[in-house]
Formats: sequence, structure tokens, C-alpha cells
Amino acid sequence: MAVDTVTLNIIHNALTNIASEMALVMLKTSYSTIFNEGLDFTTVLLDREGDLIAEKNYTPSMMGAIPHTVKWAVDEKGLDHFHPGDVLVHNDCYRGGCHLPEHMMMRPIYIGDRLFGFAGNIGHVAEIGGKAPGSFAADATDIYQEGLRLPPVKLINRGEYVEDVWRIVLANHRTPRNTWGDFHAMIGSLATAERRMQELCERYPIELIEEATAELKNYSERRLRAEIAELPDGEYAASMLVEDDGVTADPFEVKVNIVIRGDEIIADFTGTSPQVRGPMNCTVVVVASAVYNAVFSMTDPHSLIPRNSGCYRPIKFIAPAGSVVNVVHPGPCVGGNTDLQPKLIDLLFKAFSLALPEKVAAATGGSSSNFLFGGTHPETGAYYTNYHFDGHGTGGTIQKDGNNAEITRHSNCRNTPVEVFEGRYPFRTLEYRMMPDSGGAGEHRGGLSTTRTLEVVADEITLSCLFDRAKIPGWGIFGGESGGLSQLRVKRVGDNEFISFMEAYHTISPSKFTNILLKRGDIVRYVTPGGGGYGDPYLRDPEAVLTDVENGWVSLDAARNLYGVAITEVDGDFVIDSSTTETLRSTRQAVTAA
Amino acid sequence: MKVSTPVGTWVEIKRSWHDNTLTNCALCGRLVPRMIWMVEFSEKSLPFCNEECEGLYRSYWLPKYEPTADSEQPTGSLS
Repeated sequence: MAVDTVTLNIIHNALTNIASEMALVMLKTSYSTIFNEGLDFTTVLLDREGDLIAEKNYTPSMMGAIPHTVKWAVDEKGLDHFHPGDVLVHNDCYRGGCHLPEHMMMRPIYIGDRLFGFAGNIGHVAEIGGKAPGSFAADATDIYQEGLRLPPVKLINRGEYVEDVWRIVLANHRTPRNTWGDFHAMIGSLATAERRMQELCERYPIELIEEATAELKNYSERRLRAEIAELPDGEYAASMLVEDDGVTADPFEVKVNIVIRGDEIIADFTGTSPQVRGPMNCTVVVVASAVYNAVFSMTDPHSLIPRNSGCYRPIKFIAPAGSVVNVVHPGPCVGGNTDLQPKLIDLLFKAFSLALPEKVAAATGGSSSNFLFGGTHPETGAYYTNYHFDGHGTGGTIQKDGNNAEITRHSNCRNTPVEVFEGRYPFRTLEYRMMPDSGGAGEHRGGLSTTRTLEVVADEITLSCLFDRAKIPGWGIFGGESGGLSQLRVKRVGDNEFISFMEAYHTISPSKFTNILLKRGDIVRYVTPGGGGYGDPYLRDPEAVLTDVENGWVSLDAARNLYGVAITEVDGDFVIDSSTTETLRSTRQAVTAA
Repeated sequence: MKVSTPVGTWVEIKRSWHDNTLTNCALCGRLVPRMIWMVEFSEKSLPFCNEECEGLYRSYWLPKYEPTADSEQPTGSLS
């Protein structure tokens, strides 16, 4: 049965809409802010082989993971393991999970008694036990400190709760009510998918839909291969140092060699450091996500090619097992997903910059700036935890400045509004703004990072943080400067000034620590990292520098010293001093020429 | 151009439900949950996801990182 183009489009849109509705169900019915404010989840439809056929891609880091995760679960358990009404869950990072907090659920979709495929979703469950409230132990040395690990197991069997599994889960999460709510949001999303697929099959024969999905995969593959074929063949290598793993102060190295051969791309991470003791390792599907993210940015930045398993076929990756880009048991990995993955994408861009300078960006802040806390709420007496993250700066590009205050490009998440944050948790927000001079100088400046100052308004709060780029900044390219560093500082009651957590609590890392006990009146201030600049800052339009100064984004000193633009303040207005600017810029030109 | 002919065989992993061991592909590092493409190579058994990973191992990885290894030795080859 041939599928005409119009029908193909209708079926493609119908499948995509089902994935979107699945996401809405999760958004509207979940309990925790990481779901309903942060949008830290993704929903998909897969065929019976476990191939992706449609997605609602809120979180690109899950996009690359879930086709592998579902397929491997199907392969491991076998198709005969599944029955109508089943829901299977797993968060095993050695079996395709991104890190332990992210739980994948899948439900077989039956049309009558015929298995059509699977509905799947991944969501970041805010609290899953382990040594730190919020399940982000920045000094974890093995997986068992990071929370409860579930291999693929059924939560629902033929429509009935598997009570023993639920009891184990709810007994090991610190905030079981949230887990109950968020798990049911995920389960409801899957049920919606099956219902909508059954409705679609009332309009079109299932055989036609199966043929359409096969053709859609082939179409996406053809489109992506054509895009890759346009790229210059060759090998493009890059490396980077990552500042520490949270357990030791030592940096580690990640290397990549990108091979473009005809209509295929290989991203080879051979030579990367062995897995580290702390939780900065990432899982193999995190690498897959980073590679897909970078390749799609080079080949299809506006997402015109339908995202399904077909467009993954031309992309290969090599992530040696036991290295920091493919952790094996019992290595910890919670920070690899959030804080190594964005830097992997930066690194891939760095390698691509050798071939495609017009398509890449300078490095981002490269950190999700994970801020986790918990305690007993002073108003309700209930135990609470929260996983909070904040935006950083992205890198400048050939076309424009980097974005300010953007949550990492692998997550696409939203920040939590101050009103929601304060309404739920005992912190008072004293300050939340963009950080001046945090964007790396460049012809196109790096994006600005954010700073937030929070006062504890409970007797105690237990705080854990997993930030990065406190020592090694995000790089600029083609003459651009590095972005600003992250900072975490505290002013304890009785102190006169803010000091680092290393000074206050003797942490090994300035940006990664676990279970610091804050007291009422203590104030925490953090700064997220900024993006790197693109191109020589002395080529930046002086008017653009003036606008930055007027916005409070670039200081007068930086304008002069980094951009060679002299600006003076006259009656409250900023004015460019043209002759001094010309002198500054021509002097630098002369020095450079000499 | 020489084209390597895959020489592996499909082997099914048989583990009891209480065995937590996992197998990763010798090239790409991905999990191999059930069916392994097993290749005897230089007196070692290497597990791959499939023939494609074996091919990439021979055509790209070995020549780049172990150029002295006789990457074509165990295979048939076509001229």
C-alpha cells in the first residue's frame, strides 16, 4: 500500500500532536516544579521495534537517549514481556538512562490485540533518595550514593498497580507524595497516547500508519544524509579540560575527533580520560544526545527534518566504555548529564569550527548550575526538597551575540519564577539579575550569566550544589574572549562579607559540594557562568558597546579595556568619546601589526 | 578499495534475572542488551552491536589507533 504525500503529512502531524498532548498532560498534572515549571521532560512515540516515530522535544538531552533507552528495554525484556495496560519504568544509567533522577516510562500501544508500538516519556524526578536531598550528591563516589536505581520493571501490570515496586520506590524517595504525583503524570501521559493512537487507527488502517512511519523514517534519513553530504569531508579534532569532578581537585580531559565522510558523520571520543571518581561522568546516551544536538545544529538548525530514528542513522559515535563519556558500574554520573553534556556540545562545536566557522558558536556557560536543597518547611512542618537550576550565557555566533540567562542548550528548560520559588520554599530572594561583564568580549559578545542572592528563612536548610566553570571559563573563538566564571559564596549570620564555600566549609571544589547546613539568616549568592565571545572585540560596533553600557551589561572599564571603546557619562547619559576610541583601536591595530 | 567482509556471529546473551552484568559494544560503547555480534579477533572475542560497528572498527578505528595491527587479517577482503 503506497502512502501519498498528503496522507503522509497528516499522519506525521497527527503523531507529533499526540506527542505534544502527552507533554501537556505531564505539564498540567505533575506535582513538582521541575516538571510543571522547568519542563524537564520529553514525550515520544515509538514503533514496535522501538524506533522513534514522533516526539515532543522539550529537553534535547532526552531526545538522544530515549530511542536507545526504549529499544534496549524492549530487547532486554523481549516483546512477549509486554501486555495491554502495562507500564514499565527504569532509570538505570547503565542501561540507557541519562542519570538516575531521569525516569523513563513506556507503555505498549495495542490496537485491538495487535502491538503497534510504544508510548514513552522521560522525566526528571525531583527526589529519588541517595545521600543528598534533591539526589544530586556532588561528591558521590558511586551510584549507590546517588539514589534508587531501577532496572526495567513494571509499575503497572495489565492495568493494575504492582504494589511491591511502588512500595520500594515510595519508601526510598524523600518526598514520596511528589513522586506519586509525577509518576502518575507520566502514566497519564502514556495512557493519553494509547487512546489517541487508537482514535487515529479508527481513521486510517493500521497497516497504512505503519507504512507511513516507515516512510517517514526513510525520508528523514534521506534529508539528513543530503545535509551531511554538503559538509566538507575531513577529520576535525578538539579537546578540552574540565576543572574537577567534585571529589578531587584534578581536571580531566575530553577529546573528540569528528569525521565527515560523504553522507555520514562519526564523533569519536577515543583518548578521553578514564571515568572519574566523582559524578561528572556521563552515560553513553548522554553522549548520543550531545552528538545529535551538535550535528542537528550544523545541518538542520530550524528542525525542518522530522525527528525520528531515521535521522539518527547517518550519525555514529564512539564513546569508550569506562571513560568519562561512558560510565560503567559503579561510577556516579548525576553531573555528567547536566554539566558535562553542555560542554560536550561546546566541544563538538569547537571541532566543527574548523570546517564550518559560520555555523558554530563560542562556548556556553556549560553548566546547569544545579542548586538543591531540602528540609522541614517552617510553615507546613512537611519535609520538602527542591531541584533548582538557573540560566547561563550562551556563546556568540557569526550573526549575533550570545543569549543572556538561558538554561543550557541541552535542556531547553525554563527557570522557576521568583514568586513560585518563594511560595514553595523557605528562601527569600534578595536579588535576581544578569551579571555585568560576564559575557565574553567579542565582535559578537557572549551572553550574560545570572546572579541570585537568597536568604534562608527557615531554621535550617541543607544545600547541595553542582556547578561548573568556576575555574576554567567557557572559551571564545576566532579572537573572542572567554565568558565569566561561576561563583558560589555565602555570608553566614555574623559574617561581614561573602566568602567562598571552600573558605566557609572547606569543600574540595568551589562549585561542587553536598549537604551544607545553612542556618536562618545565612545568605547565599551564586553567579552562573557566561558565554564566550565570537570574533575580535575591537571589531564590535562601538554603538553596540554603548548599548551594552547603557543596559548595565558591560562596564565602562571593560568597554575601554576589552573593546577599545571610550565612553563617558555626561549628565546621566553615556556618550562615545570618538577620538579616544579611534586612538585606542588604531594603537591596538599597530601593536598587533608589529 | 578493500572492503572487509564481516566475520562475526550472532550470540544471544543468556543471563538469569538476578545477574546484573551488562555488555557494552567494543567500538561505540553502547549497551548490547541481548544479541551480540561476536567477533574473534587477535585471539580475543570482541562484542559489537552489529556488523556495522565491526566494519567501522576495522575501517576506521584500527587503522587510526593501532595502525600496526593487521586489521584485515581475520576477514575476507574484496578488491
